[in-house]
Amino acid sequence: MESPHSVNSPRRTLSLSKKQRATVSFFDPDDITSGFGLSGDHGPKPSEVYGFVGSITTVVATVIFLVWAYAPESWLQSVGISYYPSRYWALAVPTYVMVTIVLVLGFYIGLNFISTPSPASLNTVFDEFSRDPLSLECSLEEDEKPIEPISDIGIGRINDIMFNNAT
Amino acid sequence: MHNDRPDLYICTDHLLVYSIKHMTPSVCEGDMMDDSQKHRILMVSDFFYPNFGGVENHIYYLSQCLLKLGHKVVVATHAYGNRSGVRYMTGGLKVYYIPWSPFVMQNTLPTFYGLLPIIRTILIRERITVVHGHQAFSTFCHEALMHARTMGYKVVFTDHSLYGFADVGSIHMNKVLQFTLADVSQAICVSHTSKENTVLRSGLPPEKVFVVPNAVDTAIFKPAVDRPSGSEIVIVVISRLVYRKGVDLLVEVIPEVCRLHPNVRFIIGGDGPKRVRLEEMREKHSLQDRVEMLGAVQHVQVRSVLISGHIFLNSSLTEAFCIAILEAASCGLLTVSTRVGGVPEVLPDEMIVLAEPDPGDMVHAIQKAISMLPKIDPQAMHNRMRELYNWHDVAKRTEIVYDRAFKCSNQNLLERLSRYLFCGAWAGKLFFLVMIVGFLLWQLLELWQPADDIEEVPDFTLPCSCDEEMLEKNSVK
Repeated sequence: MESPHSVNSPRRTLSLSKKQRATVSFFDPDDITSGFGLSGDHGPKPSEVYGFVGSITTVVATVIFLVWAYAPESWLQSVGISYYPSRYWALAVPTYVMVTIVLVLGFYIGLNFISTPSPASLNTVFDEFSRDPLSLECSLEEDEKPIEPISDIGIGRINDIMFNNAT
Repeated sequence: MHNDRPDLYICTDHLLVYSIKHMTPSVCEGDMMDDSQKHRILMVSDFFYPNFGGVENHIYYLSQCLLKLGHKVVVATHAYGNRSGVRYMTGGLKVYYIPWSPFVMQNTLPTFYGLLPIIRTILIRERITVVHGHQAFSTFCHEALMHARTMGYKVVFTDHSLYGFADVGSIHMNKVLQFTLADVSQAICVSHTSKENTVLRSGLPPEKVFVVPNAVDTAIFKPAVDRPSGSEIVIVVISRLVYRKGVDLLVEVIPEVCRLHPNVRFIIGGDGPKRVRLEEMREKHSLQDRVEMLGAVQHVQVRSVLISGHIFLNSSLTEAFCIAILEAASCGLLTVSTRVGGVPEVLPDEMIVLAEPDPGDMVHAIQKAISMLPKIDPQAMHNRMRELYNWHDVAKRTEIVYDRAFKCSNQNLLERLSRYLFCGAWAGKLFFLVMIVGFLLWQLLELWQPADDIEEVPDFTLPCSCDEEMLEKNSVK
C-alpha cells in the first residue's frame, strides 16, 4: 500500500525517500481519538483528475478545431453538421493571437529599454536598497566566523582597487 | 553521546558517497581526482537581494563560499525598482541587475531571445566558464541557460522546489523544464526526494543529478546562553502563512495541543493570506494569551524568535528541503515536522519528530516532543548541526559538480538538437525550431558585434574585511 501522500507518477521509480523511518510509537492514554475524523483514502486526488480531464479535453478540442478548419463543407453536410461558426475565424483568431504575442514581446522589450537608467544616473551606483558594510568585529579568536551579511561596496572603493592597485 | 558518532558519519557519508558513486564511472582513469581548477561562475536567477527567500540566501551564501575558495562569481538578475545596473557586494561579488522588468511574482516575461544579447555580453566580458541557474520557476534562469548552451558554455542547474504532475501549472512547468534541461551539463537538487521529483519531471538521466543539500550559517543561529526555563513550554512556528505551508493544519492542531497541555504556549511568526484563519482560531478558542502572533519576521530577527522557544513546529505540505528546521535545530530547538518531501532526510531522528500531515498525528508528535524535551541539549545539537550542514561544505560539493561538468565532452549543434527532438511528439519539434532560431540569432550577433570587440573586465582581489577595517581607521586618523 503506497503512502497516500506520496507523489504519484505513471513512471514508477525506486524512491530513496521511502526508506522507512521509525514511526511515532508514542501513545497517550488520555488521548481522545474520536476528536479527529479519519480521512479515508478514496480514489485519486482531485488534481490528478483535473490533469487527466484537461489532457483529454485538449485533444478533443484540437481535433474539433482541425475538422472545423480543414474539412470540406460537403463532408460536414453529409455527416449532418450544418451549423458551425464561420471559417473566417479559423484563420483570424490564430493570426490575432500570434500578432498579439509578437507585439507584446516587442512592447515588453521596448519598455525595458525605456526603464534602463542612463549611464549618468545615480541609480546605477546607489539606490534605496544599498546597504553599507557592517563594522564586523574582526576577532580571529572566535571559533566560527559568520559569513558576512549582504552589503554593498561603494563604487569609489572598487575603482581604487581595480585601477589604482590600492590594497 | 557515544552513540551519536555512528549516526553522524553514516548521515554525512550517505550524501557524500551518493555523490561520489555517480561521479566515479565517468571520470577518465588518467584524470586526477584532486584536479580542481578555478572556475568563473555566473549565477542566474530571477531571485536575489533585495528580494528575500530561500533561493536568494542560497545564491548569496554559496557565492560567498565559492569566492573564498578562489573562484570568481558573478550574479545576474533582473532590476528591482531603482536597483539597476552593476553593483559590487560583500566579498567582491559582482551583481548585474539587468533592466528587465518583473512580470509576475518577481519573474520576468518569457521572451525566448530577448536576453540573448545582454547574456552574451556578460559571458564574454567576465570570461565566464560555468553558468549556474537557480530555481525551476525562474524564466530569467531558463532563458539564460538556453542561450549559454547555444554558445557552448557549461551549464549547471539547481532545483529548489518540488512540483506536482497533475495540475495545469505544473504540467506546463514540467514541459519547460524538460526543454531547458534537455541539454544541461549537470543538475543539483537539494534532497534525494527533490532529485527524484526533478528526474521524473524533466526526464534527466539520474546520473546527471547531484544531491547537494542546503545549509545554514550556524555562526548566526546559536542557542541561547540561558534557555527559557520554567514549567512553560513554548512552541515556535515561523513560516509564510500560505496554504502550502499547512496553516490549515495549524488551525486544528493548536487548539488541541493547548487543551491537552495547559503549560504550552505558541509563538507564530510570519504573515500571509492565511493569517486571518489563525486569528479566527484564537478568537474562537479564547487563546489570545497563549498564542502570540508576531506578524512578518525579518530574517535578522529570526534567531531571537527561535531562541525564545523550546520546540519548532513545521507544518508544510510540500518541501524540497526545509531551511527553517535547519535554523531551528542550529538554535537548539527540537523540531516537529510533517513527513513530506525531503524533510525526513534533513535531520537525524533524535533531533526531529515526524508526523503525517494530519492534525491527529501531529498532536501525537507534539506530545512525543514534549516528553523528549528534558533530554535535549541545545549546545550539543548546535555543534552537530555545525558539522552536518555547513555552507563551505556545500561550496566544495558544488565545486565537484563544476569539475564534473567540465569533464563532459563538448557537443556540436546536431548532437544537441537531437536531444530536443526526443522531448515529445510535437513539443520536440517546437523545441528544435526554437534552438535553431536561437543559434542563428547568436551567429547574427557574432557578425554584428564580434566577441573580440567586447572589452573584458579586469580582475581584482578584494582585501579581507579586517584590512578594510584597518584602512577605515587609518583614513579616520
